[in-house]
Amino acid sequence: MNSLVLAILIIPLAASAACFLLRKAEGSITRSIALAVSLALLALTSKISWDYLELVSGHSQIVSKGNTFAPVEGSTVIKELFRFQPATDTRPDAGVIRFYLGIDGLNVFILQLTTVVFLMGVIAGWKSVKHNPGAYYGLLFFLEFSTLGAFLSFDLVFFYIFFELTIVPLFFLIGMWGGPNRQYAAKKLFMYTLAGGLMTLLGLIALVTALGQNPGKSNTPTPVTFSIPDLVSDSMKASALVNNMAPGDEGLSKLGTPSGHYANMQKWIFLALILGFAIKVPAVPFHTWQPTAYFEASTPITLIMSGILAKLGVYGFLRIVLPLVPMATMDMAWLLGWLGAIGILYGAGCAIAQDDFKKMAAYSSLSHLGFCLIGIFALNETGITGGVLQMINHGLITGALLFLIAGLGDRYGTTRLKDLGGLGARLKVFAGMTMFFCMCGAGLPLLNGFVGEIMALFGMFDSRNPGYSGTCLAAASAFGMVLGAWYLLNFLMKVFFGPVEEPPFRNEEIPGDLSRMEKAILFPLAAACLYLGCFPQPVIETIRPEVRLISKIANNQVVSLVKEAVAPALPKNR
Amino acid sequence: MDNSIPMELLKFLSPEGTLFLLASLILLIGPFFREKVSWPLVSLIGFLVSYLLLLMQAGTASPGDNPYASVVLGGTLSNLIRHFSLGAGIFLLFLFWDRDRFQPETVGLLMILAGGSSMVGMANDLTVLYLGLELVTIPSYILLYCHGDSNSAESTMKYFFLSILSSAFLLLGIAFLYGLTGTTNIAAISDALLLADPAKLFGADALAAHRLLLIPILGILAGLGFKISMVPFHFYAPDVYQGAGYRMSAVLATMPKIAGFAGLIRIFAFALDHGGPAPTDFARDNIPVLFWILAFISITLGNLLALLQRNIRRIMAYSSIAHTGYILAAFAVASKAAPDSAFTGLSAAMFYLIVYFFSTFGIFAILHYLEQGRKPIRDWDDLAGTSKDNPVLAVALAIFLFSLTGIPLTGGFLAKFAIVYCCANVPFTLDDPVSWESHYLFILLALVIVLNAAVAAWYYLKLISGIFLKPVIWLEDKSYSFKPVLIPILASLLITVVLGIYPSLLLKPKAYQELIEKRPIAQGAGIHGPFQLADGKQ
Repeated sequence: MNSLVLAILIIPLAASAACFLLRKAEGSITRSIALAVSLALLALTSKISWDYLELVSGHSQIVSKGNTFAPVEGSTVIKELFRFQPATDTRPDAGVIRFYLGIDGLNVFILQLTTVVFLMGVIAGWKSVKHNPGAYYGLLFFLEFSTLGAFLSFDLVFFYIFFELTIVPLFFLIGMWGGPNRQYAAKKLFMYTLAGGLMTLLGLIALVTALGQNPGKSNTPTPVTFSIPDLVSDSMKASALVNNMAPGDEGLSKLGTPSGHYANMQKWIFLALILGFAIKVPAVPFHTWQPTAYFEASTPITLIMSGILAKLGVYGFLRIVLPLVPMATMDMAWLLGWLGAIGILYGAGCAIAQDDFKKMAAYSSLSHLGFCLIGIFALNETGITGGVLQMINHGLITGALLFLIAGLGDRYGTTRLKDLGGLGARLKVFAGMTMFFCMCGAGLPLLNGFVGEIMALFGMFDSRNPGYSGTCLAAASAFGMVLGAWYLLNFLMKVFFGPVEEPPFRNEEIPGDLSRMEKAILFPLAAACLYLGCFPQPVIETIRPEVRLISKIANNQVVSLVKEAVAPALPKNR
Repeated sequence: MDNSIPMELLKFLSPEGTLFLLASLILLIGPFFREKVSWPLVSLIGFLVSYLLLLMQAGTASPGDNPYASVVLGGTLSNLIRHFSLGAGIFLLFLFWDRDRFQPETVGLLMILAGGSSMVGMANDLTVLYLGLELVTIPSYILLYCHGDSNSAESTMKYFFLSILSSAFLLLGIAFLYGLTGTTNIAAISDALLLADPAKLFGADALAAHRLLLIPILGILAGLGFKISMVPFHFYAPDVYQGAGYRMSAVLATMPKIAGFAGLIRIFAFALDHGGPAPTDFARDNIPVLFWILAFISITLGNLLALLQRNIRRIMAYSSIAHTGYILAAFAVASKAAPDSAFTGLSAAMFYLIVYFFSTFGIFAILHYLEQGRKPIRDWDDLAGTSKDNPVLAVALAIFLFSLTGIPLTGGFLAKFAIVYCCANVPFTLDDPVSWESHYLFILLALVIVLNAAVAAWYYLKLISGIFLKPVIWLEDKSYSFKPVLIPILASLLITVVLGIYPSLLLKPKAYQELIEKRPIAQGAGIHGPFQLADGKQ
């Protein structure tokens, strides 16, 4: 599997370079290359998912994996890049920054989603990208490269590198191919994301050094490591040490032990870490870059931003925040829970008030991503599973909706509500598909939107949820589902039903229904949404080991985990 | 004492010697053959010969056992700075390849500049250090006058007066150190200050000794701070760069900084070496604090003032002040690393300096190239349309700017990463509250660096959006011809990107360990002055 893993990273990079070199060529050539490469990547990720499912289906994987966060065997790519501390016998991979890729249950479906969303992005821009297509697709594949890299990375530094790298192509894609106010939107996005990302970087470094330092009497630092699986096991050991301390022990309050210091540092590290991820998602008080960026960007780019880049932030919470700063997460999950709930309501409220289909989609994305936060910061298995499912579902649904909106823009040159009406009479299949995906988004049972949202809410409602009560959060969020149905139906009604209102046709050409290519992507997508709505169990089973581990760590049930994994290393219970 | 001709020492000094000899020759006979000879080519050959001589020493060379040999140092760090200075000289030479009025003078002075900076890098004696610094400074006055734009006289005057003032401060500090210890050998001074017992001299008033040290420390910081445009001594930079044109800005933003930082490393070696002996507790504890404060204000003021500028060279001047601050932050943390940690602030600082050089050089060189045959590029919005009429250079410019911003996959990211990592990794022990304080203070410094990197992104982004996003009102008819300056631009681009992907080439742990240990002490040093070496030493 590891050659496949490397391939899905190298192919977009090579395609990006090829597109840049071919920038003088005909637009149709670059477009065809882009389509072929996207399809190839889709095939490769499908193969990876298929292999992974086969590997896991016999449960052999779950047993062999134990309580580590490591990627599955055979999927890792490791290249030592920069060693700043000599290797030690106990841990040869410490003190080094490695190019460390891998597949596990958390990222396998998200990789799949990434290639699907980028394929949609390429097709959605089939007609609208006229100006300088070589550079456009070059940047698009560079964006895909960095996105895939971030999801694949198991090394903190490389995760950050790819995470931060996404904003560079995005800046140009918005700034050069966007709407009238694109410069402002691109700069705002870049500044917000970079500032948040830099705080995350500081958090990551502080996390690594805090875990690496051992200011006890012996004064021998444990070797610093950037490998996420190693950091998780270190973090579990540290948490276990703190848990084993008697109440009133000086450890927590006065830096009595290394892990006590770690516990103290955690809340600051947590705050630094979440800033970058919350801006990337975006969670509510940090979302102000989002409406301008989503609206000024051309619709295919909005599709990609909303469909997959927003997930980078959520993925950061799952991969880094929850397992690596569990104590602070426990203490401050309420904060993120509230941000999620406020986001759901605020986003839905704003979506209702919009007069433009694209703006509505931007705000509805804000609203639906709130469910991811709600689910993840419920900290129990149900909630986290719901959060992960919601990531995937939201990517599919919002991707499809924005794809349709891009089609609407291509056909009529506008997505404003007051220009459009009664289109169902002319675009029958188009209207049908839009309705279907709106239903998915509104969370209709048996469709995929329902599964993720309801599991996230169940997670929040769970009264055994230790540490804080989420009932009122869940109630507030459930209300968001209602609001979601309201604005989606509202828009459907205005655009597709009622008397026909069309803007003057461009080029004297009567807009046709879905083209063959559009059908070829929308129908399988609809089938996937239906399938995930009816049979989410395979996905849930596949992500279960990781989700269970994360929820156990986050719930501070680590003592048992550590005992299972590294029993001799633990000191006796005092 | 062996008085025969010190062959080993001559061989050791041959790279710089070649440069100085050839430069003098060019300056002497050049004016008579202005048009007949391709002077840059002559100079390039000189540089390459000198570089070959340096390569032949293979890095481990020592200047030998000769009594005079104690004035210079061999070893990894001095080797690195020598290579770096010569390489920087070659890069800068390409900027002046076009035939103009002052060509022989220009290339000769550039060679002296590079040789001087290289001399500072290997100095183990205050006189050698001062000589090297002046060899960097004096040619730059002349170059600045010859190659500035219309305001060159004004900016030369400003640079000249402030620069000689700073040299005077430096000289004061050096003289004071000589007065205290009776030697100019840096190693001997450090040892003398360490081993001498101030109590014997000043009785109970131990602070008197500290007060005596304060004057040389401040004098030297003022002198070198000007060269590196550190904050209280930065006022000249924006005005001078603005009047200097892109080529001279490239020289002024790089060469004096290399020399200045090399000088700081040599003089304050005791405060940069982790776990090494320091002259007195006073200096050991307080010089990092001083660096901390200077780094803080340089970074913050540099970035904030850059936000207010429109002129590209002023923006770059303030950004160079901020970058000085980042390197000073690495200096501040250099002595704080854990005893067994191999990766120290000094490695990070050298890496940062190198990355800074290539990015800054690339930006100035590209802007100089773009200025040919079109109206001068002054403000950031003059860049509009660059991406249309020269897309390749526009992308290169963006990469250099991203490197200075600290975006991943460029050297600038790993350079900032290294410094932030060092700052966040200051160890502490539980029983020592002072060590906690320094731990938290350096985390605060890391926070300052990170926040400022975000602030800095704004003005770099302004330049980038000028290049790519600004709508072009009319396109001038421009045709760009190939120029030799494109070669070093391409080379810096490659280096910037490669260092961003594979930093191990230059970011080496355990590289600069010999900072303190291997310094030779001049024979007969430290006989006079209140801080004498203990008897056994002489």
